[in-house]
Amino acid sequence: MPDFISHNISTINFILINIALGLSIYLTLATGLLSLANAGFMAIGAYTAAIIATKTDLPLGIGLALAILLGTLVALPFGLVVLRLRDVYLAIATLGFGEIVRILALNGDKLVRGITGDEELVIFAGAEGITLPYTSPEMILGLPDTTWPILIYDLALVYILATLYRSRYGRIQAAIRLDESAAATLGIDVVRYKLLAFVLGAAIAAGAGALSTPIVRVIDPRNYVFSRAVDILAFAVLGGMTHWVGPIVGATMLTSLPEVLRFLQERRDVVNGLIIMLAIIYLPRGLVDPRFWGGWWRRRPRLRPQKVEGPAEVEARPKAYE
Amino acid sequence: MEQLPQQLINGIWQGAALALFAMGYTLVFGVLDIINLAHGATYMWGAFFAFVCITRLDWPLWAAIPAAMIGAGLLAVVLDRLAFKPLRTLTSGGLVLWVGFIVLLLGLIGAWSPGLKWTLTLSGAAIMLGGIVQDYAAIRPLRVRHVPHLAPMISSIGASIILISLAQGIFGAQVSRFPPDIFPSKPYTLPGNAVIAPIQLLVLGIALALMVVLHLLIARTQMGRAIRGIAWSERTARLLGINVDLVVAQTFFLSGALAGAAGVLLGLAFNRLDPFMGNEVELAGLTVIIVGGMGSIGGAAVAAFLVGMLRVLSVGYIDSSFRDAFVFALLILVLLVRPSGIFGRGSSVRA
Repeated sequence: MPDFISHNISTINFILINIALGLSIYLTLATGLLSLANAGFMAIGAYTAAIIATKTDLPLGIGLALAILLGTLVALPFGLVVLRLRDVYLAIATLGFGEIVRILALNGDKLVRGITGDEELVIFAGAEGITLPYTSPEMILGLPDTTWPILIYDLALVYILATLYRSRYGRIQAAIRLDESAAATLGIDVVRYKLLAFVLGAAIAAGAGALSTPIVRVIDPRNYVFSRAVDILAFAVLGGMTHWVGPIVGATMLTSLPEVLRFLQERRDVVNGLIIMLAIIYLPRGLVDPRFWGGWWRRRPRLRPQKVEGPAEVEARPKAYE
Repeated sequence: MEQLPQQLINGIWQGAALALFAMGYTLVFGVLDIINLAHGATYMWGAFFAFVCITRLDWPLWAAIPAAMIGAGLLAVVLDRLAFKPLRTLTSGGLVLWVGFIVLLLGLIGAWSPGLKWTLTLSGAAIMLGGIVQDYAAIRPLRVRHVPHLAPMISSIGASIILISLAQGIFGAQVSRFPPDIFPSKPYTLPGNAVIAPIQLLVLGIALALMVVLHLLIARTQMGRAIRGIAWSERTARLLGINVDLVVAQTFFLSGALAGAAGVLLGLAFNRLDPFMGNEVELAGLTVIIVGGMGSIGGAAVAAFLVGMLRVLSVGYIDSSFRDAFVFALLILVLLVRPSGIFGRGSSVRA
């Protein structure tokens, strides 16, 4: 087992990062919003953490906190304005957001130089990207110290999302996804819950971006283009958008697939695209569909007669049918 | 300011090529209410079709452009069958088509011996053809489906990834160029010290001609009437005896042919082709169809000149690296202020 982990540590790292990203888009999809802004928020988080790491001596935790804070602060006003849009229109607006973030990161230095007047300033490093110094990872309990933060982050996310899923919030989310107008007539403040899902998703993506910096080490704008947004979407589409286990399964499968299909390494994008298409056409609810799987292991208990309190009532029942 | 006439001319010919791309985009949206995010990939393939015709087959330019349009049009029709049609109706022919597609992809991407590679690729193509023929000969709907609105968009994203990745595999990720002597390059000088290259005039001429042709097709022909009928209400059109399947295929062909033309023309004008050239124009095209009003062909044409001008002017007067940021800012602004677009009919329900 330790051998397996050390041989595949980079795959495991990327699986963990992608799980967090998949969970971030799950929140919006489960509320019926197709937002492609997650790659943009990931970029915000990654750049925040990378700048903290290169310009200051502060630990990664501070970078993570600032990344999440910044992601939230950007997502709030942006969400307020774009969440009035639906379906395709929302997808396009968020796509535009991702591109604007990328262009700003690419030209961030120009802007900062223009404002401060300091011509030598290098913060974003344009197309080359920020490169973090290499430090050989220390092993703690069999895992490198770069892996632990992401693992803990993922576990925390799973705990939060599992709690939310079973809460009133989870039911409201499903109600909005299934029928927005009906949800509104039931007195649900649709806009507020949509905004909540969007901002939470953005914060999670920003955090994942921040935690990915020690692993990718080179943070350049090309990592956060449209295709990254599509990758993230694919995790949720394949895994399923109605249960938080879905994106975890999807992210794990799609990240480890290229390792399994090494002979297709060069054209793994074809396989990615194929999986997205096949999943959405022939498996539109994803691999993890509570309605389908729940039926399997709940079928028998449901058919049994309900346990009723008191022997008198149990005996009274057949009489009522006669 | 002495640059202004030159900027305006650049804005006009680039806007014209963008209009071709956007009109095909908006045509499909108008008829089927779907955003085909693989439109940019069709555009890229159109450019590469012409590239193959010219560099490998030694065809003259005047033959390569129509060939690329037909190729891209057929590609769009197959794309509809693969990515969108199964979401509307599941048919047995559609399943056959998908089996063929997977065999074809296996042949194209696998590390097989050349003989097996060609066998797989060609038999995959044959099976796909069989599936399409079967749908026309004896259509057997297995199930009419009601999928979420997002499904077609996601499915077209998948198709787009496949098309781009295949182009990368076949033509390489580097920039390909047409032979330099393909078209005279001595620019004409216009009043105001502006210059226009012959190729740019060609782009403008072909683009305007195609716009007129498309307008006549939509406004005057039986096919155009059918397309407009389906855009208005598919149900009513079906009741009136319009062969919806056929008209949808025609729409996709038109849309793909326009994208292919735009791809060849812009590829020629900038003389650079690469597998990712569609991404850039895709986003500009999205802005155009939203500014023009989704589904409005005339609106898309006008908005294309507007966006083309905005891009050129922001490069000329502000900073080239922020060109796309301005386009997206316009996109988000229009979405917020008037989601139905400048020329679209006001419909608050849609957005």
